[in-house]
Amino acid sequence: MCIVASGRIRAILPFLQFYVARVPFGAYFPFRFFMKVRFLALGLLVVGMLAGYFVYPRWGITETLNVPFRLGLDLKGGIHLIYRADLSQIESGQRAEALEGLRDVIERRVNFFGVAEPVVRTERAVDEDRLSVQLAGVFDAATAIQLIGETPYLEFKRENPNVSTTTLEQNPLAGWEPTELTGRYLKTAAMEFDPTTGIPSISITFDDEGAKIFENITEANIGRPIAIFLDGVPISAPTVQAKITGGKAQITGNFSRDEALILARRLNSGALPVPITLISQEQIEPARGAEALERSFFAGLVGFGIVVLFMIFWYRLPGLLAVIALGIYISLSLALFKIIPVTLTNAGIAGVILSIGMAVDANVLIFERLKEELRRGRSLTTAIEEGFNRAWTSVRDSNTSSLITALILWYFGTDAVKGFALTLGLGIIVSMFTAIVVTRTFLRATHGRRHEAGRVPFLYGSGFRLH
Amino acid sequence: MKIIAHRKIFYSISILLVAAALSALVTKGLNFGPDFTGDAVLDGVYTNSRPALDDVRKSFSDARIELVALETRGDNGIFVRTRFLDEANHQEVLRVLQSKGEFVEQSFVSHGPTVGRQLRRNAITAILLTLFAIICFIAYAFRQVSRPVSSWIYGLVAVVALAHDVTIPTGLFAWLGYQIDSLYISALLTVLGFSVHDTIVVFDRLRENLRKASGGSFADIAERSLRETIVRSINTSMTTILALGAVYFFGGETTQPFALALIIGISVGTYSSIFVATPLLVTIERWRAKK
Repeated sequence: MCIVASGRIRAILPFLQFYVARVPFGAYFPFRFFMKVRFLALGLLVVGMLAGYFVYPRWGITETLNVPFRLGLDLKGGIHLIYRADLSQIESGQRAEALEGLRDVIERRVNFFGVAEPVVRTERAVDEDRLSVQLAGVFDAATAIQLIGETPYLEFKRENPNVSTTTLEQNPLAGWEPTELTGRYLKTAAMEFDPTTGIPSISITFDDEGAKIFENITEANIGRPIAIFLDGVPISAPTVQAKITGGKAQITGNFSRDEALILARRLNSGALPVPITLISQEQIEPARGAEALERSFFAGLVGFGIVVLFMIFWYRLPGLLAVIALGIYISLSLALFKIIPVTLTNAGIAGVILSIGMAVDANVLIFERLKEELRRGRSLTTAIEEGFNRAWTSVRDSNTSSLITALILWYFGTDAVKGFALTLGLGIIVSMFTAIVVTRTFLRATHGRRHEAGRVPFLYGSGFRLH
Repeated sequence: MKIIAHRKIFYSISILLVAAALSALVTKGLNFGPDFTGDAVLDGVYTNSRPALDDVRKSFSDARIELVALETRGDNGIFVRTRFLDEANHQEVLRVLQSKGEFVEQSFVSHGPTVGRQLRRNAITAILLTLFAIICFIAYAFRQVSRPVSSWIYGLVAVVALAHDVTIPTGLFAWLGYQIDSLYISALLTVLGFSVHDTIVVFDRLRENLRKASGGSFADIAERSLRETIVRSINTSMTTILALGAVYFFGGETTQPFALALIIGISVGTYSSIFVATPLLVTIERWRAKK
């Protein structure tokens, strides 16, 4: 591939070479490059500060820039419900579609709560399909379950000719057998009054597919009744007079005006295309959540403080530079969590704290190498470059294996575990950048030529021995 | 002290710890969390004073609600664990608790049995898959150093060390009666990642030293590689454990067992990558040379 190097590309090239390829450069590297490294170091600092400002804005922030963290239910409080969707009545080819329909309907229902970011999603478990509903900031689980779960499930059934009269006496419902027609094909529902009697009824309109099915059913059952079931209970069973085209039907029953109105509204907001059962429920009070958040935050702060003290006391100047790089790392990853956005949970914060440990690891590896090279009598410049180059393979290999773990966790985990895997994985990627590129740039930018004479070996030593 | 030469002492320590962990697992068994068993857990506090537990227990048996566990939490808190509850039964449990005084529910979790079954299956799949992925990755990353020990052996040895790192904290949890839930599984998987981190760093140095091949036996080169990396291994684990110590002491009740599992796992993991994994390579190399 041929690259026509413009002026700007030519200016960047030396940097690329030093970061991408392992070009060894000894004490001879030119002054011009040295100044560029200092500019680059300054640039990285500014980027880190901007990210930090984005994470924790104090003044002069515009609405659009002030993005809040997205907190998980365990930190904010709220309700998490998991339903099992019964798709056994749906043809295998149409299941995905039915599940999507179910999600849309539940989403519409959930919107009644006025929750800022309701999360409704379908999940495929090994042997069943599920629907997961998360309502942050909602604490009345009983009402929520009622509003979600009691959405009417509409069915049309025909007479079952193969049932003996004795079974019918024992169980009158056995006289009906299901048809294909359910609430899945419903387009709209409205309350109407009979013009002569004034009795309220509900008129329903099917979509195109539903209209066709309704036409077929009515055609096959002329003179026989068709029962309309709501949530498994028959509410009316009109006898079919003639084939009905156009997909309109009437539900009459002993409704009061209010009942009919509510029913129509509920049908409209979505008759469930498939029946659902609540199989898991979690609710966390806001006080509990706020306490957890405060504690996680404090733990993170203390953990960071300990790491800072250790790095500076043990590794001195490089340690200090690594700590600044760590600060940039934390600002960048938190900014990333805001932008993506990543939902922060308790476990997720633990993942962040853990990734701080891993970010430090890369620097510890590099500094131990640097020290070794210095002991061998290399010049500081060479020792810094060698330290980075030789530590790179272990940093790369060990972080790759951690990334593999994070990936597997993310794929198989529950929500809490997923949050942990996501923050850990992102943390590893960002930390590879800051621990290598940022720390290296800082080291190059600070050491200067006068250090070469070996006047300040203490700064680059480590441990408690004074070199 | 020579690490490789004294490897039998270190093996003995590991074998003792693993044996203790296994006996704790057999005698005490694991206390699975509600998410794994398909149970319901309700947490709350009484505003004024907490009624006696026996009194509460009696009310539950009167209401025909089977309790799995009933414990006190903090000053006026109470913790109830039962089999899976649907919303109607949940309200019933609340009514029982509220009949004993002004009660505020703080958290309620109820998982159906199918959810638990799936979680258990996922946890096992995730652990096995991670182990397998790690063997493959190490075999690939160290493919250039197949002499004197094949790179697959490196992977296998790393996984033996990992099994060691998983067994010991799990045994400790069995012994303490702490809950094994999905958070614990993620702690274990993190320990796996960390321990492999440590093991790879030593192996990486071994790879480099073997390539230089400045003479000396495999055991000598292994010893040198261990010595060159031991400060780094201990420093890294120390900083991470210190950071986790902060989570343990200040992070709150829910994350405490999680932090403990990580602290123990990472300590054991560091031990195994220094004193078990690389010495095992030497043992295998000797064993093959004899044949």
